[in-house]
Amino acid sequence: MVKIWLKRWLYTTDHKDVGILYFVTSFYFAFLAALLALFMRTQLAIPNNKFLAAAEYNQAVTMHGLLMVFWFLSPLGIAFANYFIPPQIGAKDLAFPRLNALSYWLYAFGGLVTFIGFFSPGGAANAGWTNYSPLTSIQFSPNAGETLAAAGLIIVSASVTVGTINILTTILFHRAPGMTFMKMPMFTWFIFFTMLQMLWAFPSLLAGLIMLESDRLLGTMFFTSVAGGSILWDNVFWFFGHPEVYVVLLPAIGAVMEIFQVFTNRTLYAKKIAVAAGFAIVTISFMIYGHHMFLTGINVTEQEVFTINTEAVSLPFGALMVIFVATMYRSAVKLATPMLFALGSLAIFVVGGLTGVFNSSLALDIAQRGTFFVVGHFHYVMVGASLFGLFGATYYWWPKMTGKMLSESLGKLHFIVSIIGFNLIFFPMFFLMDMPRRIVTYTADTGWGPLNLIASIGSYIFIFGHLIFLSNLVRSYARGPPAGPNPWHGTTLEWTSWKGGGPSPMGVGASSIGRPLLSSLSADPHNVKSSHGSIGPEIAHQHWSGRPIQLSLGLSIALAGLGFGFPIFVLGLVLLTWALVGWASDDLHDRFMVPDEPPGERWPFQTTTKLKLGMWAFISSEFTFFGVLLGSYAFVRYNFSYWPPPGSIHNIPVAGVNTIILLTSGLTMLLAVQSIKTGAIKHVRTLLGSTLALGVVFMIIKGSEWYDLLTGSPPFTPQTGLPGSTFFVITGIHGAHVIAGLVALVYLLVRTRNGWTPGKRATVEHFGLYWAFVDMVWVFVFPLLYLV
Amino acid sequence: MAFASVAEPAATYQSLFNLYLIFAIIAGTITIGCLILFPILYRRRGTDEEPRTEKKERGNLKVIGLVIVLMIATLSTTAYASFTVKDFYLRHPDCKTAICVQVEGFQWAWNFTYPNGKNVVGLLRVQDTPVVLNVTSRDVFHSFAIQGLRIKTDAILGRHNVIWFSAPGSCSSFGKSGFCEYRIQCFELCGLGHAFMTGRLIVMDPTSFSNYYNSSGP
Repeated sequence: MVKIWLKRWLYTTDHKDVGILYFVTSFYFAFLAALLALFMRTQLAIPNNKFLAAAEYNQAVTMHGLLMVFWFLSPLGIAFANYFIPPQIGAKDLAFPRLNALSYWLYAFGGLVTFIGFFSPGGAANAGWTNYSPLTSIQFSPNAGETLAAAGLIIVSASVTVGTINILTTILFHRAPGMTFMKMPMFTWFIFFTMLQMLWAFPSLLAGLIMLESDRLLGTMFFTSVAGGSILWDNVFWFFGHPEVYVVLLPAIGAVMEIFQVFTNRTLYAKKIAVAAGFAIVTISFMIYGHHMFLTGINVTEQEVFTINTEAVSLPFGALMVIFVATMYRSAVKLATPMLFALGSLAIFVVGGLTGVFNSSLALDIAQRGTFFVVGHFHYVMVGASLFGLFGATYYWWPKMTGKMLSESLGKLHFIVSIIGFNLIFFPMFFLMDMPRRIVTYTADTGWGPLNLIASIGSYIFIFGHLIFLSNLVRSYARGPPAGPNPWHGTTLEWTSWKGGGPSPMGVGASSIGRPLLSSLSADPHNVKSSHGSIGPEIAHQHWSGRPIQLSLGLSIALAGLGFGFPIFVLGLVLLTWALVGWASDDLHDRFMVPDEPPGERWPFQTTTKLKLGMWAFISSEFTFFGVLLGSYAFVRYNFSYWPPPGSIHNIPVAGVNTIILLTSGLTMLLAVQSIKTGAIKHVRTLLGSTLALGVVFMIIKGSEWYDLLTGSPPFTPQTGLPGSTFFVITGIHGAHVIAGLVALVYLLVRTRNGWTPGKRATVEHFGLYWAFVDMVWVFVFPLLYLV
Repeated sequence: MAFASVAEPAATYQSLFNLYLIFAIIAGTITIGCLILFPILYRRRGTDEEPRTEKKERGNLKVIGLVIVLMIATLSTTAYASFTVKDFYLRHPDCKTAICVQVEGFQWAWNFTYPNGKNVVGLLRVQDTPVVLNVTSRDVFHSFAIQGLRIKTDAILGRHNVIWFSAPGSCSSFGKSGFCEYRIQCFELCGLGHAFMTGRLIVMDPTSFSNYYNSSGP
């Protein structure tokens, strides 16, 4: 029984199970991060305190931020998205169940890789969650903890990309008949917005982290040189970092909208405008990150544009506030716990938003930058608005997830205690405008003592509030009253027609990994995902696969090896390869089948396939990724005094021939796809083989080019300067994309060796998109790196 | 060179801050007021338990439009005021009329170099005339601030950011030196000594300053 229980939670690909895993794991990381916060508040309670040393305090500051942002707030929103988006739009599961499990395990292991830094020599990362360079360079932070934190963030970026593509495709492709865009519940809408932001923001972080790790491990100079340095990191990090603020906020706002509608007994006021506001937030959020850089000395006109854009983002939020207030106007408000938290979240968000307007000013920022005023502001947004909103979501959806009610009185007590505690911690910070952030201690003559003491007392009260919350959860899980299918009289599909909520039994009828399992209705009616009763015989599909956890473990061990040494890295690679081969072999033998869903609302993607949608989403994220890499190249080149003239380092004729070879492989791939479309199927394998051969030749020439550069005299290496750093990192990453494509080509050739099916044809077509993209990137890389 | 009796640009800063504060208090009071008041005014009275679903979507563009227009008006005002104040911050006097000092941050102290080559760590002595600081860093990302005078700029390797201030020689509390003193501090996490990367600004009278400036000691 224990074995089957374990197997279920390790191998599950069911959206509900993965949602619960996200839920539990995110609260686990929140517990760790909250402990760190408690240590910090204890240290700052009185002047000249010696509770923590500077080294410990800096680690606490850094890890608190990293864990809360990447491993708690965002994943908690994702937990609810996992659990409730499919039923909200009438889908059976997410579009790609195994990718869903993959994104969870990458998230979980990524967190452990970051956290394990505490137990490495030199301690965990200690340069702040913003990782400002050059403090994060090997010169100033030689500890493995920094490498591990960056590795963990790379893993979580991978998790986010995979998860985002999955949820976006689900929303675009798996809506039930009648579930048009404008009928979509607001939570689904706001998760949709969140996913768009994550899809295009995280690749910037990923590109930055790869450059950072390459600086630390290979000796490149992106962030250690004057030409790149702090300003390059600021640009790359905040292009991701500011949208990330809305990434943690929007799921909470979406949940609050659901709660508002249910507990006011009204539909949302001006839903169309709420949707428009969401789109506006997504768009503007990418254009305001410069307000984090007002004092770095960037151009004043730039600062003014960023000030205006930042103020502009408050307009859609203003519209949302009107919508919330107007929804309550002349309604019938029931102040149950979810509604209390929703109201609390909004009230706190008003304070966070208005202080944010202060920070948007290029002038006011002069005094506010780096002070506790900013700490107060973003905690009002991230803890107040996001966390209170997500608490509301927990109280709201817990009955559906467990089938049991939470105690209302404990819930209300939790609300009161935590709102008092919260404001005691963070409101005094607005008056601590002279106190710098992230200082381990201060002297008594500063006069900051009393306000800090209040904040520290508040933090204990706040933590106590969450103990009430925890006891409420445990109590409900153990002996809560049954909830029934729709305890709040909700109107969205997950309440009205979905029978799939509640605890599913532990692996009923499970036999072997990955096979679709059939269990009759008699096993447990609760477990049956009947897609709202539309399928005749009640069949429960339970898909298990061990590959996601194996693959994530492999990747995580490999990347942890960056901090722990080469043997660990190799061990991880071996495991990763094994998992990939296993995954491919599962597919070759059709061991993991996802039943097709009946087509529903797919506008405007009626004629495409979901794999193609997923591939397009992936390619769009790759646009940001390569855009940031090439943008960084342009940045350092523009700022660097000397750059070798074209032809003085690189052999242009050879690279030109190589370019033609890669483009020809693009042509053969295109012909393969065309042959599939026109039915000339017998040529396809030949064309795929030619593509593979051309790709291999490209990589061989590329390799010899690298070899000549590295061993030439004088050698041209990543360490010799920015021209070398940019050349090797960018062509290296492009080369890695080519190699991944070649591996996929081998897989395609193996898979198509005995005949064609529609599925196999589609796979070739989707691969064609990827290969075209890789070629297209080279069309930019070649002139930029060789010709100019 | 005007004799500044109040700390500049601190006074200008405060007036801008107050403008934002007034708007924020008005907007915050209205919104939070509604969020507290409406649930009480329109609480459920037991008769209205069935969810009411309107056939036609509710929503009055005029209300939202009005709020947006009001917000745009307010935000334009504050943005314009901010630009003006930033201009004031940027219009630093030249070195003929002001004391120009090179400031270099390093782990974990501030190094001040006067025009005559005088070099001091941690202590910045000036007189109550305008002072121009040219700030940079020797190693990691620091942020130089005299928070009491509301001036700050990032100290970054390879970049020189210029700020200026004019501190009054009279103040309510005098430091150990017997002169007005202000705290200098780093505002960007820069490693283990970040909290202790402090210094003092001492605003001397002209005679004492000129004696100090021409002496050889620190």
